[in-house]
Amino acid sequence: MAQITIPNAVRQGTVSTPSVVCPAGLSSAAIVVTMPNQSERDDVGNTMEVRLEFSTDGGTTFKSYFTVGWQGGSGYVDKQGVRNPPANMTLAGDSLGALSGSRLRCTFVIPNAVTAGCVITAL
Amino acid sequence: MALPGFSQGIGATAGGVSSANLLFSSAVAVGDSIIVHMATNNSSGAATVVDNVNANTYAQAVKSTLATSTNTVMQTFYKLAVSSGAAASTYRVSMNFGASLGYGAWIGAYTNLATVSSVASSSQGTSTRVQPPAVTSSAGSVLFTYIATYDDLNNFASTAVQGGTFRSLQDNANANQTLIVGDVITSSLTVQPGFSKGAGGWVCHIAAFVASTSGAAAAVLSPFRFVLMGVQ
Repeated sequence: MAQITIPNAVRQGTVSTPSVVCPAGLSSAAIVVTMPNQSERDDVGNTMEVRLEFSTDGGTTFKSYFTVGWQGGSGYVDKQGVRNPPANMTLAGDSLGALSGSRLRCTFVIPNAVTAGCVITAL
Repeated sequence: MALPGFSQGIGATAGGVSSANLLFSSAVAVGDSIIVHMATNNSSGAATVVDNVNANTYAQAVKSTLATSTNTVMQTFYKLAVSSGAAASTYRVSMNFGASLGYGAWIGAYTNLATVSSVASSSQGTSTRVQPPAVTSSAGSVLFTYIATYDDLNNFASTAVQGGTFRSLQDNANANQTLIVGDVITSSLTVQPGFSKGAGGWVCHIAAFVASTSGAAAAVLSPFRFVLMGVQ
């Protein structure tokens, strides 16, 4: 398993995290976004695109394999009871094995400044 | 008539989001067909599906709602015999839900599919045997693809499927919305595959796609007929 925690900080624009090397036999890759400020999550003006990106050339270029869109203030309450939760995403499948040894990172696209971080895990 | 073939698939789960796009890691060839399965935890999140290579939205084959939890919805979409392919890691399938929700999703590419059959069917139950109704295709050389989800914490017991081939299990802890996918590629006309899970409510549906007789793509023959079998 490889994991990296990106601490919460005020972020805006297109922000890419450091990357981790995916282990042999890669079966899943996950990003759990953290947004500690409820007021920011409740603001309908806040949006975020989160990209799960792999590099197969040692980190020179990255390509998004899974992208999600997040919108603040939607009123959505998840199964854990969290209102307007930050995004979480997991990509899984046998075909990920071909990406063993590649580098995995997260890229945020954040139009309005918000406090955010994430945990990136490759299993 | 040659059997359809499975080319590739990739699964994902996410929560708190309103859109997603997934990339096929291998090349998609001209004539391949793409199947998209998803389970969501918000009934208002009716998905639309498109890709970045071929025009037109994907057609919906079947949609099922868990009667005991109407926020638990499954949908199966398809695009048959694509006119343009794409190199590895460039064919992107996008889903827009129109609302924030949690979901499990899977996209798969198959060869030699020409038409969608009209035998799509759905069932619900609480037993440990999760299966759609038995369905019969009017033609041989068929892909039967089937999925299931649930609204409790009694996980699918394993990735083993009964009478079919396991393709994907996403979010078995059901934090977002679990989705299990299997298929049967066969010349038999009638199948009733299944999964196994801990006791608790589930919904399972199946769709069928018929192989090309000539290798050439054909138009969709008939719309799906949705049959809700009720709680077993």
